[in-house]
Amino acid sequence: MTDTTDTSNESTRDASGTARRDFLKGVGAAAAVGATGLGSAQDLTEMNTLEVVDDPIGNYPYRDWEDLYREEWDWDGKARSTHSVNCTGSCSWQVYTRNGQVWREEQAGDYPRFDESLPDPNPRGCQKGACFTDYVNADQRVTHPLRRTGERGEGKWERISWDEALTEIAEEVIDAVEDEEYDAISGFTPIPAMSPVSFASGSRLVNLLGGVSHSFYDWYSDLPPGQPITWGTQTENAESADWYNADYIIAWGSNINVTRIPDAKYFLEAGYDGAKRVGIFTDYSQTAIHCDEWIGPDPGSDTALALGMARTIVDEGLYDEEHLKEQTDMPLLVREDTGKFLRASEVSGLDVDADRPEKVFVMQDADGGLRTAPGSLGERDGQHDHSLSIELDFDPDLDAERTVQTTDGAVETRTVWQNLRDELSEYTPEVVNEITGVGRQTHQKIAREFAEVDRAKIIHGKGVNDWYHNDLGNRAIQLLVTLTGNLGRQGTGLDHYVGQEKIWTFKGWKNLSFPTGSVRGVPTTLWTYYHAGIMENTDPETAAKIQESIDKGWMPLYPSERDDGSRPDPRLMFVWRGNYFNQAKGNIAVEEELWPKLDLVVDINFRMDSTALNSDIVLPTASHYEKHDLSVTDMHTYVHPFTPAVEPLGESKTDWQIFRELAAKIQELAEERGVEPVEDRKFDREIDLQSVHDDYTRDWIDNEPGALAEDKAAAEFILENSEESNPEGTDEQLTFDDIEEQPRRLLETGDHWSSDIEEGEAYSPWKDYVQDKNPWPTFTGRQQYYIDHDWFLELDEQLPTHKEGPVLQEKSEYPLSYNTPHSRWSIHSTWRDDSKMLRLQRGEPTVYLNPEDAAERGIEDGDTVRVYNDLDSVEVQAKIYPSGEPGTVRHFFSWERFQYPDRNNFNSLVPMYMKPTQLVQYPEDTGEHLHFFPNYWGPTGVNSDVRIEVEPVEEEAASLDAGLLGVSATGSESTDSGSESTDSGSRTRGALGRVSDLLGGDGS
Amino acid sequence: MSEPIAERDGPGFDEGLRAGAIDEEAAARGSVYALAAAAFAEPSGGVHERFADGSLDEAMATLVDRSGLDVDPPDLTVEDDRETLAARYNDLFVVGYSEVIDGTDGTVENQGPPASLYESTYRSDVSWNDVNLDLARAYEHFGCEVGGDERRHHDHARLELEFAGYLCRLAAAGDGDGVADGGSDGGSAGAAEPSDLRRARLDFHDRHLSVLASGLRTALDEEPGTSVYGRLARFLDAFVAADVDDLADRLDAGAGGDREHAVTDGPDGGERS
Repeated sequence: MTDTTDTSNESTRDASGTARRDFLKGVGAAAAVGATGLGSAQDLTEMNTLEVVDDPIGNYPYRDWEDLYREEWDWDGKARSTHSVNCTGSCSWQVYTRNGQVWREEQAGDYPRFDESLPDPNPRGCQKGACFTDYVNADQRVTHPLRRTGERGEGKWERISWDEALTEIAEEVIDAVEDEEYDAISGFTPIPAMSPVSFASGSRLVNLLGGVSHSFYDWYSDLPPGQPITWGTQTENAESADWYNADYIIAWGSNINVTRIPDAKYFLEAGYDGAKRVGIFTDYSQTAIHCDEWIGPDPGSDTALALGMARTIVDEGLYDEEHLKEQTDMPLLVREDTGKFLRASEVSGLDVDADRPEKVFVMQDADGGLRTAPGSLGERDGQHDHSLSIELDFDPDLDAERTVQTTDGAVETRTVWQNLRDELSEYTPEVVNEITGVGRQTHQKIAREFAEVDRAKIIHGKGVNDWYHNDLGNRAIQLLVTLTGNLGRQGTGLDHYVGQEKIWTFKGWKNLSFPTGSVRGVPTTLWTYYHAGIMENTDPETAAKIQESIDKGWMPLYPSERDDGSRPDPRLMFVWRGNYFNQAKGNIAVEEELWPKLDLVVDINFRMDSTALNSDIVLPTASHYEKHDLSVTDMHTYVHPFTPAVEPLGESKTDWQIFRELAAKIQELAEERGVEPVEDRKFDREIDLQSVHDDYTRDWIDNEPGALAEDKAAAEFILENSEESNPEGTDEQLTFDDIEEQPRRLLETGDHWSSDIEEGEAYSPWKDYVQDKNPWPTFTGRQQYYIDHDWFLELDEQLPTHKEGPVLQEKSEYPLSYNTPHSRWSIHSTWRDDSKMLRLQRGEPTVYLNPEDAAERGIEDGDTVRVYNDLDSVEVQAKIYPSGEPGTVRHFFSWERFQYPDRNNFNSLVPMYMKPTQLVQYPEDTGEHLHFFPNYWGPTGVNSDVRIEVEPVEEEAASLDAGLLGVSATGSESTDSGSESTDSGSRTRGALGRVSDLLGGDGS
Repeated sequence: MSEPIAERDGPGFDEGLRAGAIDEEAAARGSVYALAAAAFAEPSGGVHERFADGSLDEAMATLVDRSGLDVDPPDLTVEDDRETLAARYNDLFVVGYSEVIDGTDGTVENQGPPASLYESTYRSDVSWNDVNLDLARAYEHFGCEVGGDERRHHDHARLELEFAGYLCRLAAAGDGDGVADGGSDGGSAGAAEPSDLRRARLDFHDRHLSVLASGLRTALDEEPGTSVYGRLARFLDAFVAADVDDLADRLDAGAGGDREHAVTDGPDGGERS
C-alpha cells in the first residue's frame, strides 16, 4: 500500500498529535463533541473493523471520486485452486485476487498432454466452478462459530468463541470416551479424492477417538454392487480421455452432457472420430440428443434389455470364446442338486495342489477330464494374489454337462455357461419388447454392432444404479462387455462414473485418515436404517436377513452390541464436507427417530446448509479458495492442488485446523480431568485422550512429532506416501510445489489399481487380469457371473436375471414413477442455492412432467403442484418436459430442505429399503470375495422404485404464494413501512418462517 | 470480533487535543456512524450490556442532538436478554439461504440472510466485485484497510459506517480553527481541504452508504420482529439522508439526481436523495 504520510510538516505537529490520531481512529470521539453523560457507550466509537494504516493526519487530497482511479488497477495475486467436495470434475483453476479478496476465477488450462493423438485435455471446468466466487464472497458465509440457543432446527443461534465451541465439543467427546461409548461418535464426510486433506482432518481425529467412520459411496447408491460381485473390485474406470479410443460407445443411463461437463468433449470428439454412440435413457436426455441412436427402455427394465442383447450375442455366436474360457467362470461346473459350484475337495480322485481344496473349482477339459480351475481362491493367499496365473494349459469345455463322482455320490453338473444360456433363453425378442418397450429388432441390432467392433465401451451411470435390483442390472450390463471381450484394452470396458469411489493417492490418504490402522467403518445405509427405527417397519423376511447379517458379523453396526445384549444409541455426530441431513433417504425417519438420539451434532461448513441448520454447533470452515489440499479424480490421471488465494473469511479455519484444534482442546481437558486411557473393545489399542493432539500432528510413518500441524504438510504427506506420486525404486516424485506450478500426471499406480499408468496412453483398467493373467479378486479367480451364496440361490439370483422391483406403493393409488436425477446446475446441494445457477433454471424445486401426464391432471407449465405418496407430500413447480416418457416424474436432486415450503424435500417421498443380497459375506466363512469394507461392499441406498401421484395446488392454497416477501397467507400485512413490525406470527418471510416471526418485537 | 476497548493508555482527549480544535458537528456525526457500526455488530456481552443499560440509547440521542441534523434519535433500548438479541441478530443478518419468493415467475430470492449487512446485496446495478473494488480504493486512498486478524468483505455495514465516521472525524479535525465543517474553507497544514472532505463524504454516501442504509431499512421494514435493529436502520437511513442533504447544500451540489455519483436506482427502484 502506498504510504501517503506527509512527513514534511512534522515540526508543526504538537503534543496533540497522539490525541488527534486517537480521535481520528474513534478513540474517545464521542467525548470530543463536548457532551457529558454518555456513559459506557462512548467506548463504542472506536474503529474495530477498519484499520487506519497510514498517518491519519496525513494529506489525503480529494477532488472527485476519479482521484481513486488514478493508478492502473490490476490483480495483485493469483493462486491455483479447484472445487470440491463431491464434484468429480477435478478441474484446475486460477483464482485472481486483489486487496485480499477474490475477484474472479478462470480455468487454468495447463494440463500437460500425454497423448497427442487424443483431444487436448484443456480446459476443464464448468459453469459451477466459474461462479464459486459467489460462495467465497457470499452473504451467507458462516464466518464465526455458532451455537443454537433454541430447539434443533428452530433457527436461533448465537455467536460463540472458538474456545467455547471447542470446549463444549471436547467435553462431550471426553464424556463419551470415558463412558466407553467411543463407538457412538460418528464422523460423516464423503468422497476423499477431491480434497483428501479435508476428508482426513475429521477422519483422523475420529479414528484416534475410536469412533465410527461412515461409508458414502454405497450410501449414495453410487456403488454398483455388480462390480464387487462380478469383478471383486469396488469399481474401476478408464479416464475419460479413453472414450476417444473406442469404436462404439453406449451411454447407458449416464447423462454425460449434464453430469460430466468437463469430460463430455471426449464423447463428442469420439463421434467426430468415427465412433458410433448409442444412448440408452428412459428420457430423450441432453446426452441422447447427441447420440447416433437413442434407445428408450421403460424405467427399471435395463436388466431385461441387457440380457436380451446378451442372448443375441450368444445365440449368434458373437461372443469372445477365448476370453470366456480364460477370464470368466463360464467353464466352471455347478452341481445340479445344490446349485453350488463343484469343489475340488468333493471330487474323488482329483489331484489338488491347494491349501484349501474346498475353495478350488472344477472344469472339464476338451478330452472330458476334470481339471482344477487355476487361480481359485483355495490356491491363493487371500483375495489379491498375483503370484498365481489364470492362464490355462488346457482347453476347457464351455458346454460340459456331466455326472461327477463326488464324496456325496454321483452328482449331475453343468457349466455356468450352460446355466447362463438357459437363463438368457428366456429373453426372446418378444419378451424383451414386452418388458422394455424396445423394438424386437432394435436391441438385437445394437447388440450385434456392439459385439462386432474392435473396441466397444459402455459408460454406465446413476440412471441404472438407483434401483432395488441394481446388482442384477449391473451384472447384466457387465455381461455384455465380458461376452465380447471388451475389457483390459484401450477403448473398452464398462466405466461407471457415479460419485468417486477411489482416490489415486490411496496409501498416503489412508495413512493420513486412519493412522491407527484400526478403522471402525460402518455401512451408512445400515447404520441409518437401524438407528432411524426403520427395522421395525420392515417386512419380516428382510428384517430377519438384516438381523442375520448383523449377528453373523457380515455387516458391522455401531455402537456395537454390549455383553449384556444392549446396544447404545449413537451419541455424537460430526458432519463435514457433506449434507447428510438433506440427502438422507428415508429422511422423515432420520429427522424423527435418529436425530433425537444424538446428543450433539457438529456441522463444519462454509454455508448454512440443511444439516448445519439442524445441528447444534456450526463451525465455520474455509472455502475452496482458502486452504491447501489436493484434488484427483478417476475422470483423469492428474493431481493438482488447492492453494489459499485468500485467507479464510472471518474467523473460519480450514478443516484440518479445526480438527487439529479440537484435538488440542480434548488433550488439554483430558489432562486437566486426568482421563485415563481406555481399552478399545475391538482393536488392540488404547484410546488415549491425553495424547490425542500429539498423535494427530505426529507423522506416524516417520514418527516425527508435530510434523502434520499444517494443512500443506498433510498434503505433502499424502504425496510422499503414495505410490502414484512417489513410486518406490525411482527418483521421480511429485511434490506440492510441482503440482502448484502445473497439474502433473500421476507417475505409477499402486496395487489397488488393475492397470499401470503408461506414457502416451489413457488409463484403462483390468490389464492386470486380462493381459497379465493374474487371478481376478473373486472367489473363483475369474469374472464371476455365478454366485453360489445361499441367499443368492434362495432368491434365484445366482445369475443375472430380470426381476420386478419391490412394490413400495401400489400403482393403482400412485400411478407415476418417481426418480431424482443429478442436475446440470448443481453438484448435489452445492450451488443449489446459487443465484447465478438458479437464474439458469426455474429458480426453485421443480418436477418434470410428461405433457400427457400433466394434461390428465389439469396441470400447466409453471403451476404449483403437490407431489405425494404415503410418506409425505412436497409442493413444487411443474415443468412440462416433452422429452420425458409418460408415467415418470423427475425431481432433480438435490434441493435443500429450506427451499421447500414445509422443510421437506425430494427425499421425503423416498423410504429407505435395502436388498439382502448386498448384506452378505462371500464366501460365507471367510469373505475374501465380498466382505464389508467402507465404500467397497455394503448395502446401497437406492431410491428409484418409488411411486407418487401429482395434483395441482389451487392458487390460493399454495404455500408458495405466501412466499411473497413479508406477506403470509393468513396474516395481516403491515402497510406502514415506517412502523415497527412487532406482531408475532402476523407475517412470514418467504416460504419458511424465520426466528424473528417467533420472537416478535422485544416489547420496547 | 474484537471487543470495544474501554480503557486506553495515553492522554485522553481533553488532555491532548486542545479545546476548539475540532468541528463538533462533524465529530458528532462521526460518532453517530461509529455507534451505529458498533450496534450492527453481533451483540456480544459488552454490546448487549450497552443496549440493555440504556447507555447506547443515551449516547446516540446526545450525539444526534449535537450533529446539527434534524433527525429524531432512535430508541435503542432493548428488553431482550443477550441470547434472544443474538438469535434475532443472527436470524436477520447472518443465517442465510435461498428461499422461493415466487413460484411462478422465476423470481429468485437472494441466498443471504433476510436483511443483508452487505451493500452489494442492494446493488442490482453493479457487481459484487465493482462494489468491493470501489470501496477498497476509497479505504486505501484515505489510508485505511480492512483490519484485524479476520478477512472481511469491504462492503459490510460496519466497515462502511466506520469509514463514514472516519471521514467525519478527518473533516472535524482538519482545521485548527474548528471551522472545518462549518463553512470556512481554511484548512490545516497537511490535511485535506475541508471542502474536499465534504466532497469525499458526499461522494461516499452517494456511491455507497446511502444505498446500504436505504437497502437495509427496506429489507428490515419487510421483516417481522426486527426490534431494535429495525429502529436503528430506519434512523440510519434518515440520518444519512439528512447528512447528504446538508453536505450537498454546503457544496451546492444539487439534488440527488443531479449529482454525478448519486445512485438513483436503489433497491426499491426509487430515487433517493
